[in-house]
Amino acid sequence: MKFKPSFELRDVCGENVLIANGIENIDFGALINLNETAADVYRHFAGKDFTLEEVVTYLTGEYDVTADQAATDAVALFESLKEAGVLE
Amino acid sequence: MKLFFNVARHEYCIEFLDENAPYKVLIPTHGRFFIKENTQPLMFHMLVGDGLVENSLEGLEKVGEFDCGNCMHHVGKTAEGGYRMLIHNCDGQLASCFESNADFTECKVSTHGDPGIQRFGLDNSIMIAFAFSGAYHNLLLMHSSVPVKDGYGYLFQGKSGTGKSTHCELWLKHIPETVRINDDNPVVSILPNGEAWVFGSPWSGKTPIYMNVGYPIGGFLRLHQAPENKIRQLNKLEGFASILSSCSTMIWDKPSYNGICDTISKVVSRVGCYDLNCLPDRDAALLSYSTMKAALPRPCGRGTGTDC
Repeated sequence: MKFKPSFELRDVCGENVLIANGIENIDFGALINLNETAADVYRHFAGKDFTLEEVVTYLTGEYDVTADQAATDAVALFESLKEAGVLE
Repeated sequence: MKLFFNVARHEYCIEFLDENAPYKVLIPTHGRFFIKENTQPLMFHMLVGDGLVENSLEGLEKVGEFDCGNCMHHVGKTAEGGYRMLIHNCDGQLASCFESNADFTECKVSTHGDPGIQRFGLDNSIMIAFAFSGAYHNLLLMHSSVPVKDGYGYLFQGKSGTGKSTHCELWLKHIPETVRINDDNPVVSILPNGEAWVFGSPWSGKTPIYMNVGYPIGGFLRLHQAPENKIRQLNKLEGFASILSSCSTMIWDKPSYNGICDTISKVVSRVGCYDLNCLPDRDAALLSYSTMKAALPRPCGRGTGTDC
């Protein structure tokens, strides 16, 4: 999977916000607010093809979290990003 | 014939190839923004004349067709990274062909149709040049109605037909010493000292108010028709989304879109944004005014401009 290139992660008054900016998002009115960890994952994997395992490995290496917990959190994040149309 | 204008403290030049072009007919709402000579680097230069811009997007990368309410824009991207836009009025008549470089600093326009249609086409072309060259200068061209009270300007936002003008008129009627400086397309600017100000512009929709003035912003107010009056202050992210949806943007043009987003971030970190559910009545006006006023430091009286 990978993040669609037509989104940009921006700092809006201290918040991490994904903003659509491509012609395919002409009718996309939503802003997506990411927490710090989700923003970190987005920055690390933006522009790359990646697997859930790679994200879990990254999270367990960077944060004090078990592989099971990291996988649960990553799946939840990707489900919501997929629903929002950010992930393909 | 070169004419210079100053809008929101930024200068631009409209140059007519035809020395006898009837500029007073073509850009009548620019009168109060005319300056005899330019005093600072131009934000953009626009050349206007017959045959300057092709009446076709053939050979260009198509961006899309956009219904902008009272007009239709067919947009293509040039090989140099700029844009060509064919601007039609609501009757589908071609009004102008506009072409710019990538950052909208150099533009050219050919107008079409009778003088009224040409005026519409040129006015829209200048708005486009201003909005998108301004994106690189901390400027936002917004869709809102703007009353001024005690030296602060307030921006009433909402979709067409929500009642921006009506709510503004309620302020004029029920809140003493309130004036309206624009009813459709004011300019928001982050000044060099960091303050967020609102300025009148040559574009004011159906209400002919073209005031060359500027004031610190007292608040942004998004209106929603409702069976009762209720106001809520938005958090900064909600405020960002609210302002963004009222700005002239081209979501496909990354540099200008980034500039506009940066400017909105600065605006919401300095000024309060509110949501107002409202009836078209006196109480709604008093509620919005008293709520936004209470959050301000003091009456300021620091507006500037030739119309003050």
